[in-house]
Order: sequence, then C-alpha cells, then structure tokens
Amino acid sequence: MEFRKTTVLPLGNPAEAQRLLRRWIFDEPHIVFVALGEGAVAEALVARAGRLAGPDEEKRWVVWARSEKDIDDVIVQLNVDDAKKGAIRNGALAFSVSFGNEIADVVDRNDELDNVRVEIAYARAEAKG
Amino acid sequence: MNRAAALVLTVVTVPVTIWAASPLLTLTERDQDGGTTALGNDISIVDINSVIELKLERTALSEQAVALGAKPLPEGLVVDLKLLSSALEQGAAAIAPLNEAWARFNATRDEKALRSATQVAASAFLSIVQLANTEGFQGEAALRRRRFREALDVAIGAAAKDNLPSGRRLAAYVEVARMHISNMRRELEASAPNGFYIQLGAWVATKAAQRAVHLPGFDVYPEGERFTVERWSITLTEEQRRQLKQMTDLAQSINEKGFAATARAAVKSAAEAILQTSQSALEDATAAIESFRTSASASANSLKTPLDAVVQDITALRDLLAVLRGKYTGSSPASSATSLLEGAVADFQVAAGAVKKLASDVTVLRSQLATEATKGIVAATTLSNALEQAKNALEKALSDKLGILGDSLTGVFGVSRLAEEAMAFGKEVQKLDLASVPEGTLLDLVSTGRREPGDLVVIKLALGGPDGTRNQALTRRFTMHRVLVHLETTVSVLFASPLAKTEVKGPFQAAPSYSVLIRCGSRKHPLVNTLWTPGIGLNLTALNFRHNDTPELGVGVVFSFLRDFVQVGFGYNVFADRAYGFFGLGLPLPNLGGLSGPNASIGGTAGSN
Repeated sequence: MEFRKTTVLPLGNPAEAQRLLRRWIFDEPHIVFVALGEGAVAEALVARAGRLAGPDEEKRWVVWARSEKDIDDVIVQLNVDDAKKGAIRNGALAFSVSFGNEIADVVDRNDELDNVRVEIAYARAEAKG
Repeated sequence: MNRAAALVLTVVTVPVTIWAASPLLTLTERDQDGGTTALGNDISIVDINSVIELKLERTALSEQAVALGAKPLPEGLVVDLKLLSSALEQGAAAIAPLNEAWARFNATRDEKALRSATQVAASAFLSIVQLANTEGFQGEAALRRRRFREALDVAIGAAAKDNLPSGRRLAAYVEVARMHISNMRRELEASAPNGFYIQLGAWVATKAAQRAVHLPGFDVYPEGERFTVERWSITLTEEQRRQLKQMTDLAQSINEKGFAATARAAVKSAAEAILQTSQSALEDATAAIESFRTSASASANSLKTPLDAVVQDITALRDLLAVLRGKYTGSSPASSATSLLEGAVADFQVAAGAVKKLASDVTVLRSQLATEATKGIVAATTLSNALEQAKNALEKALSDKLGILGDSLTGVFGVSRLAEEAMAFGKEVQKLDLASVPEGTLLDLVSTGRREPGDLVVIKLALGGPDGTRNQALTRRFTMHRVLVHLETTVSVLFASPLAKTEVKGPFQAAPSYSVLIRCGSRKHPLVNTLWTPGIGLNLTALNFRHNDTPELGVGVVFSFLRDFVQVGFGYNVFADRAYGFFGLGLPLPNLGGLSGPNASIGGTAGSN
C-alpha cells in the first residue's frame, strides 16, 4: 500500500486522531479524501486514493480514519448538509473535503469503487474552490 | 390564409425554428486581421474580404432527418454526443490555464491562481465524467456509457501510475473523451438515414446581378475571380480624378456666381437634357404606333387594350414633360436654391413614375405583339422594336440623372438586392449523402469575384428525403461591408473660412479638396456602415486666400460622417500662412449638368478597390 500522501489516524486515541485530521483540513488546507473504517475494502480504497493524490506539490491528501467515531467531533465542525452527514453516519466508505472545509462528496457502500469514483470525489471537492 | 401565403410562411418560419432548436450549420468569420467572429443569428454583416467557415452539425442533421421520417437514431446517442462534445470543449479549454497556473505557482507560489484554475479544471472533468455514469440507463445507452467509464478508468490509473501533474491528467481524460466522441460519431454515421441528402450552396448578390459561388466539396462550380477590396490604398480612382476636375469647376462657379445661381444653372441644364431626350423618344414611339395603326393586325382584339394603355401613357407623359419644360427652361421656378433642388427632385420622381408605368405597359403590349409577330406580321415586330428603343431611351435619360439618388437610398436603407427565387440550387450543387457529407467548408469572399460594400452573400442548406418531396432549408444572409479598419478617399467641395484677415470676400471660399479618411464598420449595427459612416482623416484643399489665381495648399484634419454628406474640420493654408475652419454639406443630388458626379456638392466617396 502506498502511504506517500496518506496519514493513518491512530486507533484508541481520539484526541490525537482529531488533531491530525484538523491539521490537514484547517492548518494546512488540502483537498482531503477521508477514508472510513477497516477491512479489505477500506484498504483498497485508501490505496487507490493515495495513488490518485497526484505529485507531491499537489494539494491532495488522504486521511484514513479507521474509527469513524474518533473523528465525529471534527465532522461536526465541517460544512455539511444533513444528507451527507446522514450518509457518513450510515456507513459511508469515505468523504472528500474542499479547501473551504466543506464535505463535497460522500462515497457510499453501493458505489462502484473504481478510479473514476475516487477521481470524482477529489474533483467535487476541488470544484468547490 | 391562401395557399401561396401559407407556403411563404412555411419557407420563412421553418429555418428559424430549426435554428433555434439545434444549429444545423455553424458559421464563423475569419477576417484579414486574424480575428474570428461567431456568426450567430444576431450578426448579419461580414467584412467584405473575410473567409466564412461553414461547419455542418451532422448530429443535428441526422435529427432533422428523423424529423422528416427517417428511422430513429440509436438510443441516447445524439444526446450523449452533444453533452460530451460540450464537455470536451470545456475540458480542452481548461488545460492551458491550469498548466500556466502551475508554472506561475512554481515560480511565485501564487496559490490563489492555481486554486482557481484547478477549480475550473475539476468542473470540466465532472462534465466529462457525467457521461460515464450508467445509473438510470439501460440497453445501448448503458453499454455505451459503460465503455466510456472503463476507458476513463484505465486512463486515470495510467496517469496516476506515471504520477502526472493535474494539467497532463486532464489532457489525458480529454483525449479519452475525444476518442469516445469519434466512436459515437462512427456509430451515428453507420446508422445515418438512407436516402437522405443535403445540399449546401452560396450566392453573392451585387447591384448588377447575383451569382452562385463555389463551396469546395459541395458543388462543381469553378472558383470565381479573386478580387480583394483594398484596405490601404490612398490613390484616387479615375472616376475621382474626373470628379476632382468637376469639383474645381464647381468651386470656381460658386465663388464667382454664388451657390444659388450655380445650383439653378445646374438644375436647368439637367432638366433640359432629360426633356430633350424624352421628347424625342416619345415622338419616335408615337410615330411607330401611328404607322402600326394603319396595318391590318392593329384591329386584333388582343391588342386593343394594351395599345390604348400605351397611347394613354405616352399622352400623359408628354403633357407632364411639357409642364416641366415650361417650368425649367424659363426663368427660375423657385426663389431659393434649396426649394429649387427639392422641387426638382420631386418632379424627377413624378416623371420617373410615369416612365415606369409606360415601361410596364410597353412590356405587356410587346408580349401581345410577339404573338402577332409569330403570325408573320412584320408591322408587329417593327412596333415592338420601336417601343423597346423608346422605353430604353426614356429609362436611360432618367436613370443617368437619378441613379445617384437611388443608389444613395439603397445604400442607407439596405434595399434588398435579392431575388430569392433566382437562388435555387443549380445542377452543379451536389446532393450529398448524410453519412459521407464533409464536415464543413470555407467560403472565401475574396474568391467570389467583384463586389462592393452593401452586396449580399447568401448561404442555403437543404435537407432532402428519399421521396424527393420533403426538404427543409436554412438560409443565412449577410451584407458585406468594409468592417475592418481601412482608408477611404473622397473628393469634394469644401467651404473654407479663414480665421484671420485675408483677401477672401465673404465668410467662405469654395474650394476643391481631397481627403483620406480612416474608417471602420460594424458587424452588429448596419447604420454605422450605411448611414453614420464616421471617419477622420487628412484633408488637402486647393485654396486661394490671396485671390491671385495661384492655388494655395491647405492641409487639415477632417471629420466626416453621414456618408460624407457632412464634413467639418480645421486646416492651415501653407502658402498664405493662415489657419481656417471648413465645412462641407453634401446631398445625394442627381447628376445635374455642371454639378455632375455623386454627391454633387460634396464629392462621392470611392472605395479604394
């Protein structure tokens, strides 16, 4: 798995997980692809998102939150509509965050998890400006 | 509504409807300066030396064929093709700005510009990728979208593997879209309706005639004479040289006799010439009719009515001419020059109307005489020829004098030079199968032969069905003008007023002059080209402030507008060392004897072609 532009949040330490996530969203504004959960599907998604994060100077970053509950407090700080918030709570696989701290896209379990879907998630966040 | 009116309405409204729904033909003007202008429905003027690029929209043509009864096209194909074509343009347009933004970021860390370019590029990608969404689609449409998604997925993976920067990634996705569009076009062409064809033709309509012009790939007409309307020539034409001489005589006459006396003399001279010519022509016609009345065929019933009508017209015209002769060959009919000119123009118009009626009735009579002539009656042929000669002589007498007026009004108000019915597709225009028709062609106006500002170029597109009866046409008309910046030369009589004491008697001195004006036209505002015609330039005038018969050179700046009818400016008499202001007022006067030439009191503008 490629971790060149990926941060894996620690398990069992919500404070540290939130600090790291806040850093990529608020302190060093990036388009952030936040992958949620554990298992083979999540691992594959993280790997794919990492590959599509572009060259080093490009402001795309992947954060893997294996425990969605650990980052709940950060999610509520983001601009997000109720539908997307509901989708994340109902077992979404990932979401993307724009430069303006808005959740731009949510990758659902029913989505086709190919390169196209991940690139769409990045593009939707970038298109928000 | 009668059938003819209904037919006209159909012909007129159908193209507009088609155009509004989906353009069958996209037109772009490429001018001599390298500029391009999309010729949408709001533009009806092109530069006279431009190239018009014609691009056929096959998708829209196929849709039209379906509307005419062809087999429906593959499901969703046309819609997807339109959507992806539009997205492709959006994506292609975003690549260069994104690359530039990256270059600037690497040099100056300008993050704001990079984010903005990235935002545009992301939107473009999302437009492209919407065609890869299979959700809600079935059958052929779903399969087509699935193929596109797979191709895009491979391209995204490859770009990631090569760690391409965002600009090159977008370029790769655009390329995938381009290939998919090609595939869809092939699919569309393979299912192109059988038996349906298109014809594309173009015509140029000038004052003298209208002619079909060559569209490469669509007809077998030969290419026309190459003729460029010069933009930067400042030399006088032969006609202008002749006018300049007349302006010199005119200025001298005005200075010596005054404007009113000069105008009166000119009107009188022109009137005498017209009356003399007309009188002779009418006498010839009357003699021919009298001679014919003695022949046997004069009693034919079919000839009675038209013969009576012509005799009546001749009598009326002779009476009118007698009145005019009394009015213009005696003492002056008006108290002022202005009322004299206005009255003269009105009288000419009445005379022209009478001649027109006579010409019309002569045409009717001649057609009846032609029938008699086929019976071997020589007198009918003789009368027919005599009447034709008389008619031509009358028309010439008036048109020589009034032609300038007609030209001026036609130029300003854009009176149509078009006889649409003569613009039918000739046998030289090919009927091209929808699947194999070229994607477009170029209409190089320079290769369409001699033309002048105000002439028209007409483009027609027809779609025909296999039964030969159903076809619909699209017609675009453009007036050609000198839209790009160019120079024009004019000769005129100006009235110069010295700003300091000189030998000039009175407030003004008339003088012949020559101006070089810089002008440009408008594609959207016809009156800028035909009426306002603003121009600024250099004026050279032959003055005589010292009153010693030795011409003095005046150099000035002139503002000209209203087709050079109004000119104002300031100048400097080099020899007399005196500044002066000047004006010129021009009217579209007829060719009035001593005041001959277009815009008699102010010289006509000649294009430098």
